Amino acid sequence: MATTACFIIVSRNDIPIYEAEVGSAPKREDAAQLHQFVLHAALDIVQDLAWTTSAIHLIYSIPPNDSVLFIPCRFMLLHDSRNDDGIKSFFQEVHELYIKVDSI
Amino acid sequence: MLALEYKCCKFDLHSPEVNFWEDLESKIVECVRNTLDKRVQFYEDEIRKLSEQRFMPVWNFCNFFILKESLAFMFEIVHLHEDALREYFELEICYTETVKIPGKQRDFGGLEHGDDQATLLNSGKKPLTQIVQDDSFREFEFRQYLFACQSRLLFKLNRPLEVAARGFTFIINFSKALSEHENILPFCMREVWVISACTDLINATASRYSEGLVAPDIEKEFYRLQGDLYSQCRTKFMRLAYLIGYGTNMERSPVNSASLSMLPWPKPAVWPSVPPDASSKVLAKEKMILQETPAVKHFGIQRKPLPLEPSFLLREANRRRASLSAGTMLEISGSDAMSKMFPSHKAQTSSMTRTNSSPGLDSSIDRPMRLAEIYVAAEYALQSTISDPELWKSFSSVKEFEQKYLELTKGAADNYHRSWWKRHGVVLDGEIAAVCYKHGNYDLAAKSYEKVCALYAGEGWQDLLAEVLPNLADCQKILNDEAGYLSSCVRLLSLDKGLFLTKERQAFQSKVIRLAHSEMKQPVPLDVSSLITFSGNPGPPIELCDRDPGILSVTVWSGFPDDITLDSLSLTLMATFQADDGIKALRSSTAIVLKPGRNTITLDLPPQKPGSYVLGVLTGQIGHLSFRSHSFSKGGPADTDDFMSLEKPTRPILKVFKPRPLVDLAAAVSSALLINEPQWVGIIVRPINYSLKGAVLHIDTGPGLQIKGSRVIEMESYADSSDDSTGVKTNGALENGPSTANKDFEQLTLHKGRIEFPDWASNMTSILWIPVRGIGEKLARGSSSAAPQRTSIVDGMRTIALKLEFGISHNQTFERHCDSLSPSQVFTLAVHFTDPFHVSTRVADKCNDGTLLLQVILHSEVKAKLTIHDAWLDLQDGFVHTDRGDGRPTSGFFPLVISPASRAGILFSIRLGKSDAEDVARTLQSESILNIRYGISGNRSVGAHPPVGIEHSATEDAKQDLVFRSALILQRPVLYPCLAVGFLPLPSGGLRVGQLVTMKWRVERLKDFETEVSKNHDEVLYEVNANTENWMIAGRKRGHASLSAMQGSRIEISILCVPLVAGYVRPPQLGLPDVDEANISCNPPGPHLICVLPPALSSSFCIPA
Repeated sequence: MATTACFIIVSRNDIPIYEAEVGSAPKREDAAQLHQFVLHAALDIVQDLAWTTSAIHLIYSIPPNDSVLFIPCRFMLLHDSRNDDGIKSFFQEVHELYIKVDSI
Repeated sequence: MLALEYKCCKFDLHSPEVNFWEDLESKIVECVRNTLDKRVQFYEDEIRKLSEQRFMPVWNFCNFFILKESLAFMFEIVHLHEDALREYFELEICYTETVKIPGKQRDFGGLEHGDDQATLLNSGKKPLTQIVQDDSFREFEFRQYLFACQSRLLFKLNRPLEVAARGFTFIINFSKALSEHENILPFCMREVWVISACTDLINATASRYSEGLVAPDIEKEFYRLQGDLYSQCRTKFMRLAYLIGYGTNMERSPVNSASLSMLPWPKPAVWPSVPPDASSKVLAKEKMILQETPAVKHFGIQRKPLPLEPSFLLREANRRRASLSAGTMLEISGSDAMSKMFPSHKAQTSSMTRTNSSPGLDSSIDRPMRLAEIYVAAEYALQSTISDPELWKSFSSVKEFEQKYLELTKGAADNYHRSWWKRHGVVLDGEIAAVCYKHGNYDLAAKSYEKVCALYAGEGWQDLLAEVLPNLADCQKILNDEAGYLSSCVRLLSLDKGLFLTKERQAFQSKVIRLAHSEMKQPVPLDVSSLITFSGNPGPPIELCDRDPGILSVTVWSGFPDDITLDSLSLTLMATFQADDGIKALRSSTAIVLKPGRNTITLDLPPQKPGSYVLGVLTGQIGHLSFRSHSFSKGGPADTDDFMSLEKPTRPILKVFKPRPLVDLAAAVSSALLINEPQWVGIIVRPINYSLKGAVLHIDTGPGLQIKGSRVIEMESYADSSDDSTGVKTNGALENGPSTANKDFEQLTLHKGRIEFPDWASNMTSILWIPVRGIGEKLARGSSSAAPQRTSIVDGMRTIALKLEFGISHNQTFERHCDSLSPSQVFTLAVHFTDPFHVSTRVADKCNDGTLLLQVILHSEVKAKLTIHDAWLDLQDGFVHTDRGDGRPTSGFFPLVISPASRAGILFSIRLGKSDAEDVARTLQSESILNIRYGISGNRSVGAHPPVGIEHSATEDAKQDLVFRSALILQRPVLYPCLAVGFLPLPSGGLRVGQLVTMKWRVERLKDFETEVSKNHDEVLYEVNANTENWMIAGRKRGHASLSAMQGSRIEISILCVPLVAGYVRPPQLGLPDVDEANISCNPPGPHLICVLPPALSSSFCIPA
């Protein structure tokens, strides 16, 4: 089954700083806009949940002498097929990569 | 017996007890309570029994329900709502489990008329007997019944929020259940039911909710739920409206698309077919479809419309009909209506599937339906499904549909605004704006669109902004809001280039330019920070000296797709050290054409105060439109996605150094020059790492000095021994090139006190020679060797005021004191002039025959070799030359050469006597004049030198004759003066400080005064001069003393003095002011010293330490 997903990194100011369309389904021209819309609207829900659950990982850190700069951000994935384990491991990988890149 | 007592009360009719009624009441209450307890106990026991038998075949849910509900009913009657609620919850759980048991599933229900209207809040709408079927309950009715009972109790408990929350979950779950049974339910029963349920729930919870009674968080959650309910209702309503052909009236916005395109079509067992008598309606629908024109966006933006459907309705409807072939489908899809509706969609036939035809359908089902037929069929089917006339009315016309649509959208938006979900609210505001725009209510539309744009722009979601911003711009254009329209155009241009076609971006630019060049009603500054960014050039900042102008080069990035002409441009500089007055604007009045992308512009930089400067604001003019940009570009588009760069400190673009000496002017020669002769005065001009190109020196001579000849000013390179100048010289030579490197001499012209420097002298130390003449009116005076009196050096001092203007635009002025802020200060150069000689005389010998040998000692005052060619003495009255009358010494003396700072002597032989008759004219002369004809050979770089003009014209043999005259005073010998003044000896005991002493002088007339006969010759004026620090004088210092005119008469002048300091001091001097110095013989002849002892020790005379 063809699946599609949209991964996005949103900065602390709710600005999208990275966007990637992933998935095996052929890309629709209008999909990007719709995906953006859904993810943007989902920020409301994410923000709401951030106060009520500890399940969402929030990265906050004060940079010590600017050597390592952790930028608070949110990873969001829009997907059309339910695969909790896969999504969880995807986020873990992304998180590790982000820390690596950020530390360079 | 005891129980009877417990239950009974005695009532005496005649004399009732005081507490009888209270007692009775309490007993009744007690009895009721006991009864209730017993009944509850009984029911609970029964329920427990039934629960235990639940998985046995004999178990019957109906019995269980009767017991449970009876118990709940009892609780509810006695206001034990929580308990009643608990029973209903347990009942619901039990029922849910029961209906899931395979084989137990019964009729779902929902097929009766009016079932489309939700009864989830009305438990009494249908009697329970209608719900019961055999030993089970129909799910459709019973689940709603249970929820209605729960919500009734929750409302009684004043928990409307819980009703809303549970209700929303119930609707979602129930909707799923409906979708599972969709094939047996009427067409779109599920959607209609959800609309009805949401509406009921919204109305019921909102009417029972009172604001401010709960915590803000809970309140916001309540409004969020309300918003969700409205949103859900709105989505289903739109889906139904689309099915009956109102899709063209819906905005194909992201929110609508996201709601509808992911919502699957209804899945009835068979898609409804067109009733036989609906041909007129079909025609009307077809006409409507043909008349629809696709909405054209402002600026001619062509964008694929977002879908409102999960798949093509035409295909889906026909697929769900039996016996539909792919071939016929193709014919249909080629129709006009299809192409009109989906201009960009291509028919996709490959994915079409066939479904088995259902039995019982008429033969017309084989013919695929057209779109208009689908609409009409859906409309008919919905009409039979919807029992609520109000809801059906909303589908009766486009107007009614829009009204309901607006109502639901507003409801959702308002509630979301009250909750935490602001984004949802703002997005729905955009949908309201679209309706307002459609109906020409542009003012409201613009306001709502602005909110949406602000949200997307603030959070940087450009794709979404690009969708809404053209709509806002269109509204602003219609409203004649020029400022807003321009701002929107600029924002459109600032968006990511990939979001619009180049043609569209060019359209945005042309709108801006057209408006800028038209007469704007209210010209307002336009912020183009996102479109035009600027930065200094990479590399170190420009470094300028204080008060120097410069040229600033700035990189400007233009986001316009085409070239754009800026009529003027201005850029402010902000000082980093102070914020108040550190802002300077650099202007470029000429038009600048900015190409798309990177441009480099240069601006004239006027002199700035010392410090570091960063770029401030860029302002400018396009036609009548003034714009401003605050945005620093981060060095190009490569960095623009670096969201952290906004926090980077701005780099200084300009550094203006603190005032420092840029050039040094100094006198080349420190030794004295010849006075009254034209002399070269040298000024060393030493640039200190600064170019003197085009420098102008203003020269103003002080009193007693004049410039001789304005055309012979010379300038030559100067080999300085210091390291700096050597380096500068080398650099200068390199910069000027080999042609000028050796040029080190040039004659310059003085014009109106100005000298312009040649270019070769820009970077090297040079020396400027100016011919001047120091004018000294006074005749040089010789002095006696006994009392040498040197002339003060100040007498020969002359000044030249110099003002050097240099720098790029003569902005720099040479200042002696660099910390001085006064730019007009000029440098004053002191030049010392002197006579060639200082003359002193002494009588070398006094011969017996009355001849006096007068030795004239010549001290060389200059650093040059002097050659005396001739000397003669014009004697004063009373002296004559001994042998010849010309007053010259032996000619063999000459030429007499005097080296610098050395001395030479000339002897003159004179005697006392009357001059000859021919010298009568000179008899009145009281001074002798020494005349010296001399030559000078010196170097101007050392000191005095031959006068300017002579040295060039004269040959070596020519006499460089200069004449020096000096006045000498010859005193007559002792016997000849008229008066003798003698200082009488002091007391032998010596002088002590503080002790009175009488100073005495004897004045004696040696001979008669021939010249003073007419005057009061019997009196003489005397004056006592004493240093007041050493002496305190008591009595008259000055007065007339009587002295007989007879020869030999004498007087004594005494004066009382107190010495003030101990040591050798000069005593007071007696002077006779009326008598010439030559007529007085003094004893002792010159100043002498006397000894003053310290004061005697005395207790009454103490000097403080």
